[in-house]
Amino acid sequence: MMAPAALWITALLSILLSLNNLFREDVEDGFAEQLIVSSAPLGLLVAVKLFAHWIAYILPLFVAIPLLGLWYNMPSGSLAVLALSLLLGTPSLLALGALAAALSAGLKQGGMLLMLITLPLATPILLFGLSMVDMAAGGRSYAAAQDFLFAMAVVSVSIGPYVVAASLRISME
Amino acid sequence: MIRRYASPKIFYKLAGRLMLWCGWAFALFGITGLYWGLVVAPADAVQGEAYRIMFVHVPAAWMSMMVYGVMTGCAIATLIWRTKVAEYWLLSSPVLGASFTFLALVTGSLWGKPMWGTWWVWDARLTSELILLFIYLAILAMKGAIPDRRKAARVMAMLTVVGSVNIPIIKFSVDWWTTLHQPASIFRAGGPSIAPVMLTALLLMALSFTFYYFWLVLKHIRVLIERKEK
Repeated sequence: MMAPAALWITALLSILLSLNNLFREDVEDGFAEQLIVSSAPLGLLVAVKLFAHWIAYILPLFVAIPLLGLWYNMPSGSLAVLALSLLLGTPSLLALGALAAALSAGLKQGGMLLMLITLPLATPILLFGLSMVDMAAGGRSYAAAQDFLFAMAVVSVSIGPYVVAASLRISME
Repeated sequence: MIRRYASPKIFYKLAGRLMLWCGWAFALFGITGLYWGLVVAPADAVQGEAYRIMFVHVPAAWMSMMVYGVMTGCAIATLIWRTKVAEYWLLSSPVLGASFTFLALVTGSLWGKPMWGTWWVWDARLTSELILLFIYLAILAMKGAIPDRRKAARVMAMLTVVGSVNIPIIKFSVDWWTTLHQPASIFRAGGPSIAPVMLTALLLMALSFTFYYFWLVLKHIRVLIERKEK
């Protein structure tokens, strides 16, 4: 099946290509410094930023899923599992990408480094997401992959923003 | 006591002494291990002589994960206490870790060709080990991109901690997925499942690899301290 891989790679690319600008401009025009010295906790500010990013760049993907599923001739059962796998996987992808973006924000070859850091860390998520759809299409239980993605998503959403905030502090030193 | 040895000046002297011991232990265990593995241990009943690459492959694979484990410990010390020695250790380790990972992958594919009939498969163990190599390379790329050593160490520490999720995946990949790579035969419930003479050779080689790592890492840390403090 082509469709799950195509859609997962679409999600990964939309995150990778957009994240280069997540902190870069903020660091360059001094907004990131203002965020760090502001009285609001930096982790929370980062969480808001990431959530906004998810809405802007990932949510449209879910709107497109039914249409793309139709084009790729996917059965509706696997389509639902694919949507679920993306829902559980994209928060982790976004958190990992944001971490890389924060660490490479002040650097010259930031874009290249961002890819280099994010890809190896994101690959397990991608593989678990695809295996979930694969298992479901084969009629087997996909609970293991789903639980792994869910666990990663919980960690990414709860601790992720604080880790990204700490990384931003390090790269602003 | 730990605080005392965490001071670069005192650690420099300690590392000088330890380095010597590690170097000799590496040579001693390496020579006996090679003798044991190549001469004493008999040919395998099924694999013939080709199995002997195991004495390099398995220690290299263990080291690839152990180095990462040590780095994770240093990364935590770097992030929480900003211990200088931990930073130096973290700066010195990824090159060696990447080398061990590369060696494990290369010897694995050399072993895989005659035994499995293929150089490479997208097996869970092989894929996760390849990801480990890329994580090491990403850490190295960050090290190269940041001129300030202390900042580089902190950035590397952040990456190391996040990437450590992959280590249990590698360890348990052979249990979670039943793909081509064989499951663990040394550290398993019910004791090792390989012949004692082969196990001896394997453990000697593993010790030799471990001391090799410590030898080089201490040497590199001494160079870093010299460059910084004097």
